[in-house]
Amino acid sequence: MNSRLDSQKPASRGDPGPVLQAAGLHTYFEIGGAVFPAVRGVDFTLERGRTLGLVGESGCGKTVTALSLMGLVPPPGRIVSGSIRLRDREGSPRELTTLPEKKLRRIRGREMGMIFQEPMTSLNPVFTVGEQIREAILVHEPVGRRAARERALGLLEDVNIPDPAGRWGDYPHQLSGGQRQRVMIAIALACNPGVLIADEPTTALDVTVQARILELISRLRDRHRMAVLLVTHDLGVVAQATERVAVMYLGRIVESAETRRLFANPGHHYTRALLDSVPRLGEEKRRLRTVRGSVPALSRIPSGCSFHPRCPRAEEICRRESPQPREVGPGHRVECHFPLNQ
Amino acid sequence: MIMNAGGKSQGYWISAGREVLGRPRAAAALAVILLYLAVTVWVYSGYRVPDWESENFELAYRPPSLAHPFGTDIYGRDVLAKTIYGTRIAITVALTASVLAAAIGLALGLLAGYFGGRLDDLITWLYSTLQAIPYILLILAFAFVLQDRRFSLLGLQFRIRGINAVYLALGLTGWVGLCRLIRGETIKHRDREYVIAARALGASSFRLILRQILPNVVHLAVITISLGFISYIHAEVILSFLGLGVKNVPSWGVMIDDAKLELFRGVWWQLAAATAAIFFISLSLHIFGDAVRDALDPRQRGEGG
Repeated sequence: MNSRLDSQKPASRGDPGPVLQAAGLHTYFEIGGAVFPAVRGVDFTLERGRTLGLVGESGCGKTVTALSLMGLVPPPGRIVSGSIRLRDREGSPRELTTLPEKKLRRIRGREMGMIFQEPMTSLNPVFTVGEQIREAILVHEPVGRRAARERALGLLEDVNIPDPAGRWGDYPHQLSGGQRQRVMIAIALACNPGVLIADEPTTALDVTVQARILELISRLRDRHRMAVLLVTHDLGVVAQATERVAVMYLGRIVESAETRRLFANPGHHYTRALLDSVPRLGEEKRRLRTVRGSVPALSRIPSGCSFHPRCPRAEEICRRESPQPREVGPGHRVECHFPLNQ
Repeated sequence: MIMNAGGKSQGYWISAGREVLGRPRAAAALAVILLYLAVTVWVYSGYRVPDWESENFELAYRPPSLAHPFGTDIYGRDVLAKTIYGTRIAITVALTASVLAAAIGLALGLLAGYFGGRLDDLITWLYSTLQAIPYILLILAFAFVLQDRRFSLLGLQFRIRGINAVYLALGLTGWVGLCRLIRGETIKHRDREYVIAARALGASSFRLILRQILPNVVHLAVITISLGFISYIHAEVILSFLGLGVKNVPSWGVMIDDAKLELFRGVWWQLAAATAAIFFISLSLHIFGDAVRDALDPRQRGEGG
């Protein structure tokens, strides 16, 4: 398949290695004197041509992490400490946490694209889809309207929208949910970014459409050698579309590993509990296990290991001391005093 | 979800326009509004405009007749001609004030709503203060202050005379309602996902306001302005009646002012002519404004295409 994006692939894009590295990222919300630590020291690396899944329950800080990368944390939230290092399309490293808003704007869309959960509300209701893709190109590139239209049509074709010229003049409400998400992907990729952040991209879609959208994201990732961060609460999505996975709980990554390894051999009791709460085909019928209790409020994060009130294995030390991350296998890190199966 | 099979989908404004014109009453109202506009253009053009100035005391206070369908006034001037001239003043004042008020109201409303914080406090304070003062008194105060004021802009000398003070006073006070409305809508749209999505593309604040938010609120400005137009016409009449508006040129307000001395003599036609002129434009603007509001209201336009 011939893509218009291929022609402008920068030379550095071929290099292997990390495109984006987050280290010790803390993002807090301060409301009326109270501090809500949504992200409490998160480290991860995004690599070209690979997808990292960021998985966890509602309110665990997945979306705030994604927004932190883009510099789009809504006030009163802000990145308190940590670093986000991006290797831009020229191959030079950029530290995003200290970059002024004006320079960040040039990064957004050009170096990093983002797609959102709700494809209906992520598109402006009063513009046609064609106009919106063209706008995405014109934000960063001073090309003519005609050239931009040509490229926008190419993008619609890339995301498998049949009859792009015919769909050009459609308004968002005239498209199906899956088509809207395809349009959102086209918009996010309009300037050929090296990093794609997908925040629950399939949550609002039918299961069959989900699978096709995930395939599309993987295919475009391979073609453009992008790094993808896939934020989701759906373990099925993680299994299907990621190479690595990071499990988040109350603002920390409690376990990270290659996806296969994590599913086969989880190290953290939280991960185990999450996996147990998913029904499996061919398994004898049983009552599904749930994770005991519910997620504590951000204003009252438990002492020690923040999972201890819900953990079946918790002992005295878990209440007192936060566990240090430990390597339990190749590329497999767990934050637990008593990792499983070790 | 209904799909438009292959066909080009209709634009928002085009389909709204069709809907308005599809209603017989709204279409008739639009025709009346266009007639008033045409009369205004006609008077400005000066081409074969009826004569209102020539005085003839022998013809004073003649009741309506074939030669003078609306009768004559104390100086024997034709009341129909005066009514026609009055249209020009009314429409011109209302148009100018609308443009001025729309520009101020939209700009301040978008800025206050989008940026919030101190700027929002300031703009909210400003319009709350203006709103606290009774409307007519406020316009009077503005008109008095602006009257005969000289100022220079870009090296040019300007002097604000009678009617110009009214234009300015109306425009400078009329933006409050629109500003408040647009501010509220902007706050609503500011945190919508499509605005965040556009920000994630690297769009600047200015671009977000103009290209993402403005197109979503502009229909409210259209509705507010079309309904506000009537109040400007009324305000011009009131100010002219009070002697603050035009001088030596016919205006509906001046005609009503004259009529207060005429009525006890049984001379009713000048009052009737001015009142009828105001009545028909007011009614038409109301009907038209209502139809526009219905056609543009997003709640009445289904999600399903």
